[in-house]
Amino acid sequence: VSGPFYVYAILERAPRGVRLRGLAREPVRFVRCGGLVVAVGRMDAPPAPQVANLARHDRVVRRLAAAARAALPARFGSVAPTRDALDDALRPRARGLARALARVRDREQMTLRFDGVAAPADAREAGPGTRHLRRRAGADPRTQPAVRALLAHLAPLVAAESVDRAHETGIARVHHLIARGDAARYRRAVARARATDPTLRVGCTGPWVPYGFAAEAER
Amino acid sequence: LTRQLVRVDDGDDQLVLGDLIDHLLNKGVVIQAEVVLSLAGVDLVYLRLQAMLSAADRVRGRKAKR
Repeated sequence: VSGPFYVYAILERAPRGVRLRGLAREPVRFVRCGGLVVAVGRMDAPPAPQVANLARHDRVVRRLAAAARAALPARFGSVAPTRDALDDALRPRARGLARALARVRDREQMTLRFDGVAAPADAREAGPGTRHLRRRAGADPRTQPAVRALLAHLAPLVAAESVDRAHETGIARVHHLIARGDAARYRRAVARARATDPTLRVGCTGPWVPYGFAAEAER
Repeated sequence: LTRQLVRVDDGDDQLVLGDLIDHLLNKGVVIQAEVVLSLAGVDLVYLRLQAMLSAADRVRGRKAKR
């Protein structure tokens, strides 16, 4: 297979009997790279990140994940001009990617979104340098008792957690890895927590392929 | 898209869309990449990526301030 390659996902092995079209209707192919398998499409130019293309990319990755026990989605817009460039990008990270794949195996992601997450009061009272550093670090939604109670309620379903702290937008996200097939139980648990505490402002989406655990597990 | 994603907040397409954009532009395995940003029909922004992409809303925010 010759490039340029548009990268959809990284897998442990090529799924059998899967014939997929990519977001430009190109055939999705599987390329071995450093002991891993990369799902790619041949594409001369990266797609424009319009919402329709984001949704198409997500749809392709979902189908790949449905056909494999583990799939790490590539970030939208990832293109490698040649097979060598793909090797250079992934081979040095193969061990970390393999660990990440093991972590997401047979799991899927749910995402909680919290709005209006602000820095704690002591950050506003600190000096300008401290305030700057704390602003850069972002606000952790888990400082709020209602959020902590929700997360404790969900804990029996959660295999791993990653947190996007809130910055200027005041939006924070908590991503959870759960067992495949547990999404309905998870949603019911969130709904119960919301019913118990009407002040809890949380949105919940999913199941997703594990976007929130792809890069994080490489560290 | 909304058929594929099951949500607690039924009918909140904005929530799903926000998470979709965040996941695809801020998450996932990063390969050295090039991309042309044209979200929601706003100005084109060309980025050469070596490491991380900015979130779409941050890119739009910066452009709006210019």
